[in-house]
Amino acid sequence: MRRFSILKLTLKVVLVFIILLLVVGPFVGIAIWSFARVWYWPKPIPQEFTLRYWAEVFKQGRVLNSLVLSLKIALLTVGFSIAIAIPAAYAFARYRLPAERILLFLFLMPQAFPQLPIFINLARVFGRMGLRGNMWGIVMAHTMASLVFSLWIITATFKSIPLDLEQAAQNLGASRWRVFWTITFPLGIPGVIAGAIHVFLWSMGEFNAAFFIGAPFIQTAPVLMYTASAGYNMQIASVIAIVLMIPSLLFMLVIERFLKAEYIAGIGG
Amino acid sequence: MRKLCGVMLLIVAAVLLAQANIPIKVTLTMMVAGDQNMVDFFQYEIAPEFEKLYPNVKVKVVGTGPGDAGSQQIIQQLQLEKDSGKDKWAIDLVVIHEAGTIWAIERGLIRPYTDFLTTRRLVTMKTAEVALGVNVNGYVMPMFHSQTAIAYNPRFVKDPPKSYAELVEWVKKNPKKFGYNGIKGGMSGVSFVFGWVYWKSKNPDVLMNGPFDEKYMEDWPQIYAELKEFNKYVTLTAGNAGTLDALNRGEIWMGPVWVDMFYTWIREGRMDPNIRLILPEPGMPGQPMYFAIPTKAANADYALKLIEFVTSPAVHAKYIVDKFNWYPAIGVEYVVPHLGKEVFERLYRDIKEADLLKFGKRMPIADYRTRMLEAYERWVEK
Amino acid sequence: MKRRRDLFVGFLLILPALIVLGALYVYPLILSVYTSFTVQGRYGLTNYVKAFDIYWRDIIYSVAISFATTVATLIVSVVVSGYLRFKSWKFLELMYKLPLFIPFLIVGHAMRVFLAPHGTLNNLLTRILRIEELPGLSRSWIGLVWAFVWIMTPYATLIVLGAFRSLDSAYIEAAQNVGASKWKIVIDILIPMCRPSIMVAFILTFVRTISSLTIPIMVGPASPNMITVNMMFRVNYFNDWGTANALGVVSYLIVMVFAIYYLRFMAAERGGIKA
Repeated sequence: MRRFSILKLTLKVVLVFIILLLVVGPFVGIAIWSFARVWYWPKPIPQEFTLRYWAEVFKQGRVLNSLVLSLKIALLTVGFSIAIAIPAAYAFARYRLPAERILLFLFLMPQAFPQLPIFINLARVFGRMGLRGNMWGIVMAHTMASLVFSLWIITATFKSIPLDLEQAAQNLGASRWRVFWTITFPLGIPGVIAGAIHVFLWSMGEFNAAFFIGAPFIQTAPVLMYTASAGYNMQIASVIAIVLMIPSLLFMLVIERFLKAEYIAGIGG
Repeated sequence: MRKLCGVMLLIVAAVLLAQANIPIKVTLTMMVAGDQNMVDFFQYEIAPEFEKLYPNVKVKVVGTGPGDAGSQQIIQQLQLEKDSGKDKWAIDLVVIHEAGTIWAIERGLIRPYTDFLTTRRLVTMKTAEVALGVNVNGYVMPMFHSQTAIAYNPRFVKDPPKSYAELVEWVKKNPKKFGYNGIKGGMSGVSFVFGWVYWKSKNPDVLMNGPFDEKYMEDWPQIYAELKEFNKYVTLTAGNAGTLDALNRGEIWMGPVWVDMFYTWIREGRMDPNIRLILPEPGMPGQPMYFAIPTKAANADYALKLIEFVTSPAVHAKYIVDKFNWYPAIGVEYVVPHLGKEVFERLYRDIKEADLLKFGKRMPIADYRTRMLEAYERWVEK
Repeated sequence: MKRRRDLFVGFLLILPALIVLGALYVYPLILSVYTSFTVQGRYGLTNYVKAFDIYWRDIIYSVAISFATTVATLIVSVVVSGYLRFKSWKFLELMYKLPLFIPFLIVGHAMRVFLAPHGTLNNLLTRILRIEELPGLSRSWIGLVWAFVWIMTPYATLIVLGAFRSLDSAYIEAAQNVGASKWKIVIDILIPMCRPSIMVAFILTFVRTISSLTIPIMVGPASPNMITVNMMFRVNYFNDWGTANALGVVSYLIVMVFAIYYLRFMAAERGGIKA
């Protein structure tokens, strides 16, 4: 009996180790690279370490510029995406629109259908309009593609707010406008925040649109990461990768308990 | 009296205006084809120095990536500018490969300018006049010359093959330990392929100097079939940088690299400093990078000044040769006074000047070049 | 009358969203189909002939890779979900979700470092197993599928586990009472009863895999390529928009087969969105 439990314990330790290796292992590799100065085979860890590449995140230069650009684009995208999504979501939740499901599905298309050809052609259209190599071009593309996150999540939130609350207020003579701002919207704030975070995360990590519309003239953090990685500038690429990963992981841990398959399952990234 | 006053006022105004004219802010936009080291060179070394000389100028560097793809991106952008019909193009200066230069001249995207360049007469290389067999005289100023060679790791390769023939024997004994990038992702692999064709061809000189005639291509199917057989024993890497990284990580023991990138990687700590170079018989091609000025560049005057700056002997010696390990574009005698002895010893440590003269080949002329690349796609990749 | 007015207001409210979608999505979508049929101003199938001629192997390869990824992802997520349905294990619960929001590009880079011949994984394994040399998985189809499965599993598991958990325990208890083992319950009861959710996971995984550009670029072999990579090459190397768009349309068609099923399924099952 005792031996059995020891065996079981060892098994469990081995299992934990394997899971850790598979899931966390890839992060370990880039974490080591981000501190390496000199690292050649056959040493398992770098010959020399440095903080130089991490310093680039904080000092003026290519890395910081790209991160700031990505942040700007992501925040603008969140702003536009939410501003457009709130009225639409309210309409979907409160006005019985015809073909509601098909309309909602339409907004999923940019995410559930191959994106690459869309962005390639959008880049071409933007090229003619002078929006290529321009931050606003990327913001527009991101707003379009991320609309589904904000729209779907906010629609679901508005739908979950009981109608009788609003009706009671309306019976007391409040206008629909007033009811929205005093009752529906405050109750829907968690959904708006969740939508905003989704849009933000997606925009920060987005590569295809940023590459075809922005590069080579402006480089968002993912595009710089790609260029660095393609040129085997492992340290720069790894540093940016880790910086970009932090918000994703934080968000995952924070909302872990609130995670509902319905919200993200349909979305895909 | 009043008239005089008026004239005086006008003169003062004109002088003031002229004064005000001087510090007009200029953004000098340049597009650079090539690996990251080229972009870094301009962004972190040349731009700050140049901006110190001309405080009203801001240099903006746009990198488009290595190989023909990088040049292609520049051509696309210039073509867009041309098609837009604008009087002033947004791109002031391009740094481009030989093939890209030819495309650009054909389409009228760059203009002749070197008559105005004082450093042009310091150039001794033939490539300033002829690129891939096409006359480019006047349109280009070489920025540097670079050479491909085979890098090998002495830890595993005690006695490196000294020729393509020995290399073929070697890979059979050490399968998958030689790596190159095919023809995509950079010119180091392309150079290796050209070197292979030179080695096997009966008329390598015709391929390099012309004339073009299909009869010189008759032996190609056989040549490429043998290359395909050779490829069975090698690893295909992801580009110029991919080969260097695989060498550093010990994943391959030998591979073709650009000499300049190789030394730069050692300096940055990204390359095992024990790795050495060899230029195998009968040789591998090298190439220059060119400065060119777009036909309707808005700030052509400052572009010219920047070219002048980079190719002036002192700057050329310090940055091009010493810091970035390129071979000088201007005659060696002009840079020697500005360089320490150890720089030369480093640059010519493995590949002696004599080797370079003997085994440093040219790229094939444009007509053969295109066909060699297509042949590789058709006969080797499929 | 009020209904008409309501409809009008509702329509006005969704109008901005529709304009954005129309101008920035539908227009380029139509443009991509249109471009795929034109060669220098003439209509024709030349682009498709060229696309199939050069890339027919890559088209099959893309479908095969996506299919392999999907199957592997589903197996992993059913195993994880089956385990978590019966036993609570906080560690595993956290681990399976960890990659959920990581951008694909970063997965590509991390996997390239991890799976390289002398990468993190082999560095560790060669030392544990005391073997001289292990083959590298990056830049091979195995590495590619590995990277895809790694990033797809969290979503799939989220869906499958959600379905497993929402199933009435009465069925399971009944089966347990007659002495069925847990894995038998998973295979005989949970999977068949949750088939709709598993189908959703299947379709989503497949579509996301075949549309991905960054992971194949970073981890995939030099050849064959996924069609997304070919699209990028066509545009960046050859400035050839026709063939790139023809490949794009091919990818639409492949996905369409699944999308139609998904749409019909969602409409029938739960209307796409649940409050």
